[in-house]
Amino acid sequence: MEWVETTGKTVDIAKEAALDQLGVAEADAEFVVVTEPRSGLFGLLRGEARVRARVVPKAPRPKRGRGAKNPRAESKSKGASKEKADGYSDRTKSRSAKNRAPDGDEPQRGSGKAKRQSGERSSPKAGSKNRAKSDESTEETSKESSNGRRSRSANSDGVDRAEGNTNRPGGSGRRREGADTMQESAPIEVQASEAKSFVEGLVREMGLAGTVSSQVLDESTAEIKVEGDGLGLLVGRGGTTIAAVQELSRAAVQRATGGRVDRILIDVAGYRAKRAEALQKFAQQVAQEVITSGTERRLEPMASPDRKVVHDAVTEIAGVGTRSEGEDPRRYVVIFPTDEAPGDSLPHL
Amino acid sequence: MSDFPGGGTAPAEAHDDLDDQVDDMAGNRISGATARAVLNHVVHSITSEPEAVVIEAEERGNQLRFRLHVAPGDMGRVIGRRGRVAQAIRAVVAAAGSRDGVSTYVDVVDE
Repeated sequence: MEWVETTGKTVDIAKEAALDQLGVAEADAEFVVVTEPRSGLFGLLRGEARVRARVVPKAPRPKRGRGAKNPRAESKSKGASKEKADGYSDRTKSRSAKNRAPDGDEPQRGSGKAKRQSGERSSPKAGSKNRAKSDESTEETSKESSNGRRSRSANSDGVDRAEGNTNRPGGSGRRREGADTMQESAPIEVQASEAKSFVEGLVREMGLAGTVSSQVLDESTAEIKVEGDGLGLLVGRGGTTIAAVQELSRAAVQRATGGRVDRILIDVAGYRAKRAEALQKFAQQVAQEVITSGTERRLEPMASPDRKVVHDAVTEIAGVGTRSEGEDPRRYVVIFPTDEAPGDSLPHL
Repeated sequence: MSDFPGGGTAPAEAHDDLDDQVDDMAGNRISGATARAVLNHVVHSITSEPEAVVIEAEERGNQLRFRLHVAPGDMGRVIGRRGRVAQAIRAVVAAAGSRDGVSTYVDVVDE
């Protein structure tokens, strides 16, 4: 899966930009902080934050990655993916202690030792958090600075713990309760089923008559559909209630499975498809206007999946580009003219 | 992990205290019943200690303010990164409240 790299005044902003490009929710992405902005009090940040992000692939799977930071781990196929992901973070000092603990609980049978060693070697630098990231409750970024300080000194501690973990027989698999410790995700079918029963309950408590169905779209995506009449309440203005239901479904699945949550999409009365289509047309129309007028246009604020639709719809068109500005929830897309001659542009990103 | 509920247990448990809330002793609907029921369902579904959940409601005219107490270990889940889960709870409860003709707000109480 592709990594994207973004910058921003703060790590948070850079992350939002990355999510924007990926078109996924925070929980579906993993991040590596490449550069943190120079610290300081509010308003005194100097230097840009740079993060690298990608959509979390269905775990576990061997990572194809850049470079062999952990050559030893490379040879182990399965659980290795995790630690290698860890190896990615050149600069994420802040993670080491905090994230090593969850690492130890992951089912990484057999490969623990080699990885630990290599992890240790690069230890002060190779802290990581990629998995932990997927949990809605790990507030990485907001804690960034304080944590950074704390765990830098706690570093040796982190190593010790990691060391201890290698002795643990076979890892401990999934735990049911683990807000802070992200493990493998439960099978997508299980997640789909949990999400479905949550949504069913919600529909019932709302006193609505809707039929709820779940569908596994791919190995890491499930869609829960609510169909019926009079479901407008569950859609909300501009789909806000759907978005809320989606967020809560993720939380419910997380609680129920204790593992990482893959992509859970909620659709009510075919809303998403309709909206995406309309949005796509709208974006293309604005793009044409931008080409004609030569001046950029700023669209109204949208949520990340919607921005993704816009980006995708517009990259296909030569002569215009897109970028996102502002901060969620008021983040918006700008469509701007480019000099490239129509015809020789390839959609990239 | 094969005993996951296809349709079953979690929602039922969410119902328990709910039935007491929906109707008063004379069988009258209490205002904001839908909102309460939804809040109850949601919070029970996302907390790991649902038995520790306490929901208080304060009514003023057609405004209903919920004060939500959860186990300390569940605070993170209920609030979510940058308050996203809490916002989602508010949005869903507000939608439910509009069925009752009340406007709602949910406070997550940090004690």
